Amino acid sequence: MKLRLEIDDSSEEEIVIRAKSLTPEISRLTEGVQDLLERGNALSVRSGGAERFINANEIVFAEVMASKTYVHTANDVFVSPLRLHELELILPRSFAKASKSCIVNTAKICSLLRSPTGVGEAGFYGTVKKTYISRMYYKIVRDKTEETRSIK
Amino acid sequence: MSNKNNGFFTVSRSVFWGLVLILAAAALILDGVGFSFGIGITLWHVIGGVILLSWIVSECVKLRFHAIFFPLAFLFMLFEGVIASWLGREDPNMISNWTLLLAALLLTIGVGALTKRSGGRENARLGNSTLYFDANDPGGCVVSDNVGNIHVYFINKEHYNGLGVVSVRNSVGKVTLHVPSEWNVVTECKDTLGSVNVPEREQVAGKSITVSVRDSVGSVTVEFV
Repeated sequence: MKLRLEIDDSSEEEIVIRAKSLTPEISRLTEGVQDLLERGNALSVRSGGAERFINANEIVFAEVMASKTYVHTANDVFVSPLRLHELELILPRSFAKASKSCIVNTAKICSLLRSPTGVGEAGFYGTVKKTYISRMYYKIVRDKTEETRSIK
Repeated sequence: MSNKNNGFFTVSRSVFWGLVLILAAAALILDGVGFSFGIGITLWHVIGGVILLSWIVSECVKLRFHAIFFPLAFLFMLFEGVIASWLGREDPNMISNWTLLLAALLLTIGVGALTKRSGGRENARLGNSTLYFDANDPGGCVVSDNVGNIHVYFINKEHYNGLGVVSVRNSVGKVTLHVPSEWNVVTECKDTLGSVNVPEREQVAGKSITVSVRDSVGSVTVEFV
């Protein structure tokens, strides 16, 4: 699936999703974007059988385990109905892939540690939680973290 | 709960089987023209050996040691003639194949019985991995046969009934339990040489979770989130 952004200051702002058919994936993506537009930066998650909305900026990392997507804030963990690649499309630009099954919010990273084997570990502000960064994505996460800091 | 973080090997299955089929085609042709690596080893031996070794290693990574005996038996059958010639035996069939398979079956059952795990929520992993347990699930959770680094999180903490037990068994590695700060932790240790680290803090007015550690030499660390 490609993502294309067209900047044109003369046109009305709109989001167009072009697809061959309305597949379950496209349907979920549409619902996720709709939710995002209606609720701003809020993300719909499930906790205790109820639906909750959390601010995307509260998320420290999200990962997939046993076909479920788990979203971590500093003090809690929720289940998201979206798949990881769908989350990547709607979460802010500060999020980066840390491994094939994990994305991290680089704006929340307070420490990056790299082991001799090349595997990294990211620590986050305001929480003892840590997550691992695979060798393949370590440089990307580090560069994104520096870029996020320079923007602030 | 299961973990898909498979650590060591990340070659995709399609690439693996594609290479195997290509090598098999090469083996067919080379075997047809009488090519061998010498000392009786042909390309078939190499391909079969690689596949069987991959099978053995994948079972070892998952700590399923009872499942290695059949591939070991097939490996022996494959190289039996070569081994016989190395040992100077005239008869290349040292052990009957049926005897070998029966021995593999008995070893599989016997070792499997010795290493049998209880319950359903068990995980044995190498490397780094994460487990998620539903606090709403009354069955408790078990972390067993760990030689890696496991992080355990609890979801649906609002529905926790206060009677949960986290059992850590046969752990050589490190287990980090991320316990909600609203809970208290009670520890039970038996036959363990490892450490159980719980941050010192005053008891809070809330529910408790029991952490039971047995037969372990690794460390269990509680972190309140």
